[in-house]
Amino acid sequence: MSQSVLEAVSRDDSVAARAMLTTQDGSIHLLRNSHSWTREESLSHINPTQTLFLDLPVPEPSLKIRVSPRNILSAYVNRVTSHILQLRNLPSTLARFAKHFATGSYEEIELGSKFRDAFGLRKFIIVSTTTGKLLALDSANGGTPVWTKLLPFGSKIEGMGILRQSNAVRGYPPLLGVVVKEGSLYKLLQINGLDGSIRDEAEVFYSTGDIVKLFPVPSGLLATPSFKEVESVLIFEGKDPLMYVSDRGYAGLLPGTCHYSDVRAQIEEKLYFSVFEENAVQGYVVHTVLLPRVSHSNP
Amino acid sequence: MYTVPHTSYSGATTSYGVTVTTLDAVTGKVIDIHQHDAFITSPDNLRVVGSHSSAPLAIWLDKDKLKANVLGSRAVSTLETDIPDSPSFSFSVLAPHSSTSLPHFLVSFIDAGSSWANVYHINLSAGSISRAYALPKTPKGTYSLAQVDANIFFAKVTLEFGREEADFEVWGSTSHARLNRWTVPFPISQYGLAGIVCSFFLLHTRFL
Repeated sequence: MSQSVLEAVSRDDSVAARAMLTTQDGSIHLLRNSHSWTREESLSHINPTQTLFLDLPVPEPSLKIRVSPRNILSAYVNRVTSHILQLRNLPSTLARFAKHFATGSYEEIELGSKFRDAFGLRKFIIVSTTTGKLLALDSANGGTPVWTKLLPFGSKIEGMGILRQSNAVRGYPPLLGVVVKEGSLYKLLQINGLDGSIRDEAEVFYSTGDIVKLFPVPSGLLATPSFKEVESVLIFEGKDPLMYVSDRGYAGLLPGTCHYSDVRAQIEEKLYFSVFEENAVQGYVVHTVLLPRVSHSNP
Repeated sequence: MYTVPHTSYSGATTSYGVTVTTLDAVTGKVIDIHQHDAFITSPDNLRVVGSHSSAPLAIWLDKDKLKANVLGSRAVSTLETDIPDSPSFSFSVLAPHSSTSLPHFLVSFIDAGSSWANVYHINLSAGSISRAYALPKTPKGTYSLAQVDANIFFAKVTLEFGREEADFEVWGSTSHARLNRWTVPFPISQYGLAGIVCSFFLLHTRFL
């Protein structure tokens, strides 16, 4: 079985050729004297259960608000001048509004940008493949891949979750938590959801069986943060914990560097999840706080 | 006439033999069954290539030797090559599919980190197979074959981690002179090395 096919044309001594080949991630490429094209056929290997919908951040205002601290008069002058500056955009804004109103399209999405639209309908669909690749597809652009990330060959993506939503902390990009199995080793990758770059890579110290489920702890379960917790949110850079469950019934929180003792106290007897077992879906509840063990509940 | 080679399990030992069965294409009746003197440890070590060509072949790894049989004949040739003693070693064969093609074929070899290949010519009148030339040992690559009229061309595409370009080389089957070599920009960090993703995925194209 071949990984490539060849076509050749010969004339006298010279030969022109092109080859088509497949690569480890599943994509198909045509090579000539230059790389002609690539098709992301790796999308035919996605893990459908691991799909994420990532909200995009709101763009920062382009016109900075100037605040004059010196005296009331200069603050007033500043304010009036900035209003006049903003008024210059009013006719074009009204015209655009009228056009949108007439045509029914509410907004043009800038396809090259990585910002949300007015109603938050545009999302990046994050998918993982069985070949160890992550792709972000733009829902507003017919599913065109925005970024792709190939993990080291042989690594298996065990689960994904959104670790930090867009705009959770100003100036910080959304983060994806991706649990990867390399050989017998589990790793948590923290990946920037907007461009696919790896922000952090840590081994998960873990020896309690294979990970069967990874999911974000619902934020509704967590009580309104106290002053102390707000502080800790800032320390954790606005990351929501992800919970993993092993096939032997152990559960733990990721990233491992964070001490989510408060979180553990809050999810006790409240957090339900389901696991697909041999021939049925089984429901469980998290019941122990100190030892993160998981027990049966009525399914 | 159809000739069907297959491996046959030879009883008590854990080895397999090679049996070639010749069938009448009209009636389906068996015309001839011939068992070659072969010792194969696994059915994976048998390749059958070159259907519709002037010399369809069965090639198998017999202990540390590569043996070949032109289907329809009873002669078994030993192909001139070195077989390394490596657990990750495997071989594959590329041969033309047209009766007008020259009776040339390529055997490629892969071990843990590298790949190399030999080109063989079949002498149809004498029934012998000789090694014409060898392609150099390089980092892992993928080989392919093109038939143009009677001529046969072989190509190798080499992809290496740490290098964002692919080497694309083309040889003719008749001589070892490399006909062309292109170095093509290729984002390997994004797509990985050449590889088959699932075993049932076959890349088969017809260029128009």
